[in-house]
This record gives sequence, C-alpha cells and structure tokens, in this order.
Amino acid sequence: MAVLKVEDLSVQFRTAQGVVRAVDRVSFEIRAGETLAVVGESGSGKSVTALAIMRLLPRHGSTRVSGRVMLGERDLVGLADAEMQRVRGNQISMVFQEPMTSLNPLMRIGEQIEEGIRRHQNVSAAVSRRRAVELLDQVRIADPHRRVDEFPHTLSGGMRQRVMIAMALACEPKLLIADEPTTALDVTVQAQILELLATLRKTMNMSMLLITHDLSIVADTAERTLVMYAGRIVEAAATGEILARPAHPYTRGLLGSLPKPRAAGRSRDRLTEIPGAVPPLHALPAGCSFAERCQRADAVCRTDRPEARTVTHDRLAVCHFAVAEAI
Amino acid sequence: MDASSSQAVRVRRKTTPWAFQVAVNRLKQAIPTIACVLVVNFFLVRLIPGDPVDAFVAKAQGADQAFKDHIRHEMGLDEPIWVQFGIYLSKVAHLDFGWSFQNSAPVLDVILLRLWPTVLLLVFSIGVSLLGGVFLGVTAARYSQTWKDRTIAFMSMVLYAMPAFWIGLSLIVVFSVKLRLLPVGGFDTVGSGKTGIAYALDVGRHMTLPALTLGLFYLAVYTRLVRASMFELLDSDFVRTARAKGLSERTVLWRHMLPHALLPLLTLVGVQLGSLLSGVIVIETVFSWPGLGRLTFQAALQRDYNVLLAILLMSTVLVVCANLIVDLLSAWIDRRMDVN
Repeated sequence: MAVLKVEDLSVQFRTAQGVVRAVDRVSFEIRAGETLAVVGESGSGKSVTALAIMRLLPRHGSTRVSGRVMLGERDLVGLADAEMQRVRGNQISMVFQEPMTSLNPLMRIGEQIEEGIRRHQNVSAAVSRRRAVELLDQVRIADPHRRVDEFPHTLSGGMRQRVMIAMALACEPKLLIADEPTTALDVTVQAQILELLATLRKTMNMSMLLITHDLSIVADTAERTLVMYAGRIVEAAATGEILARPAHPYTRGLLGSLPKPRAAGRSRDRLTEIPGAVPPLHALPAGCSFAERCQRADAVCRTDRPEARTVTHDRLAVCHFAVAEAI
Repeated sequence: MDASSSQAVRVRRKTTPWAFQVAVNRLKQAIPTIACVLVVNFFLVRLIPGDPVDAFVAKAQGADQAFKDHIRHEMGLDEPIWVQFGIYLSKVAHLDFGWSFQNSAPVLDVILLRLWPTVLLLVFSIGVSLLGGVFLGVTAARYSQTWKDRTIAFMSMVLYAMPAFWIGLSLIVVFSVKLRLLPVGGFDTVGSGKTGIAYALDVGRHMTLPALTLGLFYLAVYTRLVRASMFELLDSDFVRTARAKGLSERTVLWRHMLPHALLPLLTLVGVQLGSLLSGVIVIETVFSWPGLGRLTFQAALQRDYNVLLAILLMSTVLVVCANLIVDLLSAWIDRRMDVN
C-alpha cells in the first residue's frame, strides 16, 4: 500500500534566463514502511521534488507546481494553506541538509520540539515537555533533561541533526523526508545518523524518502532507489538491482565513480568519472538530457527524448537502449 | 513538582545574577566615559565665544563695569579656570548643579521642569513608531512582493526622505492653519484652567503634531529596518524548518523571525538615543514645545554654562543607561552574545 503517490509532478521556476523546469513529470510512490532513496547530482531536482511535496518551495509568483501528490485520498498540491499546515510536521516531516543553520538559534531546543507537538496535538505544556525529553532520549542525546533547555549553539552538528530528527518525529509522521541528512556531517557521524534513522523508522513503522547524492549509503538503507538526472527520473528499481545491474548509462556512471574494495594483489583501479557536467536546465538539449555525456549515445539520443521503459517487472529506465542492454 | 519543571526553574534562576553581573561590569566601564565627558564638556563650553556676563546683562540693557564685575563674581567666573573646574567637580560629586542665572532658579529645578514634556514627547512618539515600525515591517514581509508590501516600502521611503522640520511645518499648515483642528504649538492652552482628564486631553491635542512629526520619521526608519531584516530571513533554513513543522505563517513571522529582526532594531535605537537631544531641538523649536531641547538651545545661546553642563552630563548618563538596557535586551534575545 502506498503512503504517498506522486504523479506527473513538475516544478517550473521563472528565472532571468527563462522558464526552468527543475522537476519534469516525476512519478513514484512510497509504500508503507519502506525507504525509497532518490539519488542524483546537485541540480538533478531531487531536493526540489521533496520541497514540492512539502510545499516549502519559495512562495514567489515565479514558481509553478503541477501534477498530483496524493497522501491517501488528498492531493497536497491543491490543498489550502491551513490544511497543508496540518499535514506538515504531523503526517509528513522533513529533515534538512544543514543542521548548523536549520535550528532557530534564539530558541531553546526543547521549545523548538515542543511547538510542533503543541501545534498538532492538544496537549498541556507539561505533557509536551515530557515528550520533548523522551524524543531527545530516543535520538540518543545524552542527558536529555539538561539538553532540552539549551540553545542550539551549544550542540555539535551531529547533535543538532539529532534534534532535527527528534523534531521531525515528534508527531509520529507516516512519512519522513530526509534531504541529504548526513551531507554536512563528519563521516563517522554520518553512519551514526543513518543508523539512527533506520532504527527509528523501523520502530515507528514509518516510511522514508531518503534524498542523497551518495550511492554508497543507499545499499544499506533503502529498499528501492530512484535515480534523477536534470529534473527527470532516469531509473527506478529495487536497490539491489540497481547496484548489481544498472540499466541506465548514467547510473552505471555513478556506480563507476564509487571506490570499490581492492582485490588482493591488485593495484587499485582508477575511478571512472562521468565526463562533462549537468546541462543548464534552461537550455536542455532536444533529445536525451544525458546524451552529451553518454558513451553509449547514438543519433537517436540527440533527437528523440527517451520515454520510460519497463526493463523488467518493477523496473524502469528512461533510455533508448535500456531494455536491450539490461537483459 | 516533577523533575522536568524543577529543571526549568533552575535554568531560569540563573539569569538574574547574570544580568546583574553584566550591569555592574558595564557601569564600571561607564565611569571613565563619564569622567571624560565631565572634563571635555567643562572646557568645551568655556571655549564657546561670548561672555555669559554680557549675555546676562544684555537683558538689563547695559550695565556699568562694577555691576558686571559683581555678576562675574556671583557666577564664580572671576576665579582661575582650574579653580572653577575644581569647584564644578566637587559640586557635581554632591549632585549640586548650581544656579541658572538666566532662569533665576536652581539648575536642577529648571531641568526637571523641562524634562518631563520632552520625556512625554519622546516616549510617546518613539514608542508608537517602534510598535508601528515592527507591525509594518512584519506585514511587509508577510505580504512580500504584493501591493501591501510595495505601499509600505514606498511610504516609508517618502517619509524617510522628508526632513523633520518640513513635515512639521506641513502638518501645521494643514491641521492648524487650514483645518483649524489642532493648536500650532505650546504645551497646553494658557489660562484654560483645565484639570484632570480635560487637561490631559488638552496636552494630548498639543502633543499630536510634534509627536507625529518626530514619530513619522522614526516610523519610516524602523519600518525600513524591520522590513529589510525580515526579508533577509524569509528564505533562511530555520524559517523553513519552522514551516516544515506546520506552524502557521503568523507564528513563523512573529515567533521565529521577529526576534532576529529586533536585534538590529535595538542596536539602532541605542545609537539613536545619543542623537535624540539634537533631534528634539528642531521639533521643540518648530512647535514651541517647552522641553529640554529648547532649553539646551537657549542655554547655548545665553551661555548659561551651568544649565548646559548639567544637560550634557544628564544625556551622557542617559545614553550609558540606555545602551546598557539595549545590550541586556539583545543578550536576552540572543544567548550567543557574550555581553562582557
């Protein structure tokens, strides 16, 4: 059963260079209790997708969102602001990339956790406070009774991200969106935070949308993975499938750029990088957006835009050659 | 009492001695400042060309040398300047500010009489413009890039650009001369014999135009500052977090964003307090408001040294105290600040 169904979601920004389609007809669903990873370089539209689901994109007149985001029977795209506020932090929560700047520096962390609880649940100050201490304990912050009254600047980045997680989980949401939750953290802290997220997700039986540019963290955390490139989903499959048999040349490129464990007696292979860079979104080529950087690209790639093809059951790839090569 | 609430009490109790400590430290730092001001003012005032005795006897339309010498002796100006300075210091130490020869009254009485019209005017106009500026600045951020925001931005720009005396004169022309709604100047209706609420209303009517003139300018300044600070915060990470919690836009604006915008506002008010006296001189002169500003101006013209020195000293102490309050408030809002 799907917790969230995204259908044909597009996000357009009007910029000085013209209209930019940051997210282009993206469709996917997140099933109950699963972790879905969205992988892509910066500028691929993965964060914009998340912000569009949460309706947290800058509210200027220059942003246009179309398509549907179904939470149960309700379409979040057209929801009134007041209704959407009842969804945010309550049914869907979000953890952001920058723990250093994502907490309000002028408020005690306890207050910041409590205000979400009191917004969505009709509880007394004493109850919400007890809950805040519990949550800090749950995200494994030592001495939560004392920490709850501290200001964010007394905490390290990893601790602050734990506080962000506590805030996001305060109302036991059905879905947690984690937008590069570990990118700003030390490698050792990264593992701890990912592990914490996985454990909490399991105990609270919640679904998670994990956005990352780092394929190496996907294997242990996500059941399924979407690969995004230049605003579109280029491949979608079970994580194991994607890692073992990538169907899209871009995914293969991403995997090739990961360091592999060295085999005995052999010198380390040089990492292969993907040549070139993501094309600017306001000047996408007519054909496949990846054609310029793709070694497999043919004449057809430069003229025709590939459509999504079913590679095998439950597997999609947006490439003219996907089917032929995967099997 | 359960564990968590006793925890809260303990944390809150810590703030009082902290604030006290900061206050003591700051006042210690203020002592050399005030000492410098005492010295500089004393000699600066005596450097103004012109003789207080001449200014005094001018009222009597000339006097002979013997009378002038007598007055000079009375004023203590026949002593060497170092002796005068010593006498001045010891008097100030005893909170004796001397005699105003121009007003024929003790300086303290003269100042106290003129102090409260100015305080009334300032508290009223600055208080209202602070509240208004915060409200308008927040409203502009709430409706950013809509006609409401643009109107607020345009109006505050216009008011900011107009000189205060010009606003004052325009208001007098419109409301006093053309519409005959409000008095041209003064503090109350002379000889009206009103008391109680009727008197308060009478003073209020007299205060409306000067307070408006002073207030509109400050309103423009505060609105622009709050608006700019709020705009900077609109797309910041912690504001996005607050929205992600499902908080209402009002809570996001007033609870999460405004405290950040108040910090530069407080700093500005603290800086402004130093130049406030010169600001009210113009307004009080335009509206013949019997306040400290006009007293300062008159005292300078008449070379009334004692009055001038006392006002300067008082405004120094006021600025020091006001800045202490501003610092404490800022540190209370933002705990990252190290006030010491």
